[in-house]
Order: sequence, then C-alpha cells, then structure tokens
Amino acid sequence: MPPSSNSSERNRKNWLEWTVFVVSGLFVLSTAGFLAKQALFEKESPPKMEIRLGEVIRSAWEWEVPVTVTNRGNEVASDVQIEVQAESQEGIKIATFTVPYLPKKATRHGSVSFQGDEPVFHFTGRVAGYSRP
Amino acid sequence: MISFSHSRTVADSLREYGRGIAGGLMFSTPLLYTMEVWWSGFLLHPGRILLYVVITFGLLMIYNRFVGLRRDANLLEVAIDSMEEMGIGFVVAAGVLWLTGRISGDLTVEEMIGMVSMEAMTIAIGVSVGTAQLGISKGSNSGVSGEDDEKEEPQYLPQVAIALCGAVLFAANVAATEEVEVIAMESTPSRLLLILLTSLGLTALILHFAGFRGSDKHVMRGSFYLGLRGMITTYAVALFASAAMLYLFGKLDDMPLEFVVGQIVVLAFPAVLGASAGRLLLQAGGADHA
Repeated sequence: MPPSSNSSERNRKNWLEWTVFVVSGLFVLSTAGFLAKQALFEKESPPKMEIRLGEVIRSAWEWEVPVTVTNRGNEVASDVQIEVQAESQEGIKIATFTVPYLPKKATRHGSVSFQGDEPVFHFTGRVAGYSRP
Repeated sequence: MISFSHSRTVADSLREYGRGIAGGLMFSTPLLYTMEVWWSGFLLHPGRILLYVVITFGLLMIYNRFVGLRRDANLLEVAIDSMEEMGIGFVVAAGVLWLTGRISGDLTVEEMIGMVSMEAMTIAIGVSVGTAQLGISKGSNSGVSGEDDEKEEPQYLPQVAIALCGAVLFAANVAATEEVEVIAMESTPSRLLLILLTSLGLTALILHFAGFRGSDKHVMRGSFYLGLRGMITTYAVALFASAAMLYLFGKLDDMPLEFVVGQIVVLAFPAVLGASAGRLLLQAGGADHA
C-alpha cells in the first residue's frame, strides 16, 4: 500500500516508527542524563594509580609477572610508566612497560618478564611516572 | 492524537531505516576507524560531550526542517524524527565499536558511553542525510521548504543552515585527528593565508563556475554582490564549523591564539567543501522522506 499523504485524513506513524522513537528517546535521554550527572556532580581529582601484581608464571629461563593497574582518580592519565623490580641474590632487576592512556576508574592489564634461572625472592611494582593530557 | 504529514507502511519504514543506517555508515566510517575519536570519549569532559550531543540534535532539527521532510511537517514531527536518527546513531555506533572490539566488558561504563556518544553524532547526521537522499525519488515534495519550484529564489538562511550541516559533516571526519595540529604547527603564516585563499577560490569554483547540480536552484545569483556574499558566507560557515568541531574535540584548549587560528584555517579547507559542494549534494534528488 503506497504511503498516504492525503491531508484530509489523519496521518499516523506505524508501530515500528513509534517503537524506534521510544527506544531512541530512552538511549538519548539516558546518555544525556548520565553525561549531565558526571559533568555537574563529579569532583575533579588527580589520577591515583593502584598496582597489583598477579601470580608469577615460571618457565625454564623466564619469570613472567602479570600486572594490573587501576586509576582510582577522576582524571585521565597518559603515558603511564609501570616499573616492576625483581629482587634476587644477584641484585635488583627492573622491567617496565607503558600504558598509553588510563582513563578515570579504568583498569588495564600487562605483564613484564625477567630472564634468568636464579631464585627471585621479591617482586614489587610501582608507577614510575605519567602525564596529564 | 497527533497528526503527521504522512503515513507509511512498516515495510516502507524498514526501507527508510535501512537507508538511514547505510547513510550513517557511509559518512562516519572514517571516524569509526580513527583512534583519536575513540580516545576522545574518555579524554573530554562529560559536559563537552553533552554539548556535542545537544548541538548535533540542533543540526538534525535544522536539516530535517529545511531538507529532510516535507514542507508541511510540524516542529514536533521534526523533533521526533531527529530523536529517531540520533537513537539509530547510538545503536549503530555501539554495534560497530563492539564489532571492531573497541568496546567490551573490560571498559568502564563512562568509557563506553563517552566513546559511543562521540562516534554516534556523525552517524546520526549521516542517518538523516541517507534517509532523505538515498531513496528513489517519488515526487517533488522534498527539498528546501519554501523553494517550491526552480524559478523561486533560494532562501538565504535555510541555505546557510544546510551549509553548516555539510561543513560539520566534512569537518567532523578530520577534526579529531592529530594531522590538523601538525599541519597548523608546521605552516607559516603565508602558507596559512594561501590555504585560506585556496579555500575561498574553491568555494567560488563550486558555487558559481563548475556547474554543480543544484547550483542553479540553491545558489543566489544575479549580481556580483550576491555572488560575493554567498562565497564569503559559505567560507564563514566553514570557519565557524571548524572552530566548533575543534573546540568540541578539545583541540583548542590552552592553545595560543596563533595556533588556534592556524588549526581553524587548516580544518576549514575540507569544511568549506562540505559547506559548498556538500550543501548542494545534500539537497540533490532525494526520496519522499515522509
């Protein structure tokens, strides 16, 4: 049936159009509300990084250390440099990796590896530096 | 009970939504594949993203009022259609970002909403254009409201509004990228002036000399003054759209004036193509968008 445009009849939207409109309205208004709430009520605070080291994976010549870093602050951090130290009888070894962006409240995962067959007594991780974009 | 300007079958509506989705993807695929736009979702302040959403809704209203709908559509119908187009933009953005692995359960809600919102806006404009322009033309009831036939003079403000839509559509695809900053940084003032003059020359070429389809209908002619006014206005719209897009993407924050002006001039080069040729294309042909 061709679309009707007779001005003497009352023209209506069909059920599909109304459904699309309602769902669209929900998406748009809920997104706008969420953004408005963030914009108006969230207090700005600098990035606050938290590091957790996972269970070390040991192979013949390598120690792999999973790392999880979380930004608890309310600001994005960029170029976040993660440093992990491995302390052994031979001294301290350092491995690093960089997270390009760590958004607020976000978590990112990575890992570092150390080569050698000596027993490693202690791993520690820290954020060596970051910048604020 | 609300009365609309048209009635459509469900099948016709599905076809229209299909055109809209195709149009949305056509105009926004470059953005969906641009890292800077993904990152802008969490780099930008939520208030700025919200501003982008509001401005885009306004542009959709403008486009639907002057080009996309029949001239007897009322403001409520224009608003409903604009809301639909924006909602489709959100769904398509979320779908493509999920398909390409950009959003997943590993991200926070803020990250996902920010990324989807930034991508959805250009998609929504593309949906509006695709719905209006990609269908099979069935009659003569589309086109700028008030421009009833080819002999009537084009209306100034509606044409400025459509030029703004075209400029934003073109500028948005490039504004988020670092390349605009690099070109602006590396350009001397004389080179920026040359870019500006080239942009003006292109505007004149497209609107008055190249015989673009629709230019005889939608471009004011008759005197040198009218031609010059059209050219200057079109470029001014491109500059405005460039400034707005750069601001929304955070490219102007804490930048010296010289660099701000440089970026605006650099981005206005593609934006003016949208404001001139894009404006004519946005009004060319078109289905009975009802």
